[in-house]
Amino acid sequence: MRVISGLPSHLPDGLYSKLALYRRQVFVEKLGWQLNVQDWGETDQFDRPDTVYVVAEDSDGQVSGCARLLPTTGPYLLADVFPDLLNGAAPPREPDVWELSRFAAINFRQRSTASLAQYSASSAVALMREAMSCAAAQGARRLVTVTVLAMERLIRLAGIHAHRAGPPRIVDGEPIYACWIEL
Amino acid sequence: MPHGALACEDGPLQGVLICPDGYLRLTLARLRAIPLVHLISGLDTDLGQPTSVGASASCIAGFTEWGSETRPALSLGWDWQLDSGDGCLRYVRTGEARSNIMLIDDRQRDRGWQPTATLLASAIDELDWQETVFDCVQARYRWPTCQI
Repeated sequence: MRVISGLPSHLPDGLYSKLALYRRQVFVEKLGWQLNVQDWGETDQFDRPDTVYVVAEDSDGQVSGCARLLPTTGPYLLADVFPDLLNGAAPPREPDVWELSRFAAINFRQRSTASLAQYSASSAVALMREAMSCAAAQGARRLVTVTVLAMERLIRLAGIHAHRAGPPRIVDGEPIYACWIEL
Repeated sequence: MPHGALACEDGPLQGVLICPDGYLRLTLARLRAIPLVHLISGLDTDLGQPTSVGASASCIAGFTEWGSETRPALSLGWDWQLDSGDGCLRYVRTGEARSNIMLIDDRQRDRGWQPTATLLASAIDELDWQETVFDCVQARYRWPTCQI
């Protein structure tokens, strides 16, 4: 697995487009999330010039994982869409707190029977650690993320210090949470 | 007391510290005194749903979520599986608890996130949660009636 990270303007030519397509494959086509999607891929209002991307590629140069990092000093998913997951606390607005979102580690070229629908476990842990390192390099001390049970399990499996921000919201019978990840 | 923490002086969260890092801090004894209510339980769907009472117990696993009816709320979740090791079907907790709780000692010092997870697991094992999970899963997935 090769990992590339940076602002959209710093990514190699064509990688952002491949990433958008990969996100559509994972989040829309595989997981069925109701997201804004175009023929060329999935993006939303949090894909901005100051968004930092972490992209994993397999040995053939195909995208096999991704993560998105946003500073909480600007608009971000948890604050703008899921503030109820913070258990009454105000959304963080700190330069050393970043948000992790759009995390996935599926290599569509490999079949998996893993119970973690958007992850193959070992690749996911490796990518998570890369995303954490990338965030730390941006000055983050903590990450906050809106996540699902599978990812919460993965984070605990990896021995990463993480905890919930509050109770889950139940969406289509499944819990979603806000989690803190300590760097 | 952790920097920026607010201590609840009365009410159902008396003795609980509400902290900027997102943790609710309390002693294990205090946690045991706060009623937890069931929120939701479910199966790990990609392991398949049982189609009969005689389905293999080793394939039946899932999650359960509980919390306090307070604001802010305690949140506690864990995984379970249906175990038939001693000839009886039982729901057993698997793995560590997941929560927004940091247990503290009598001097308000953090016990640490890993010791907290271990202690929470022990606290879960003291609860009578199995029947609630069974009822929820049976209703949610329309299992045929069977005893645990």
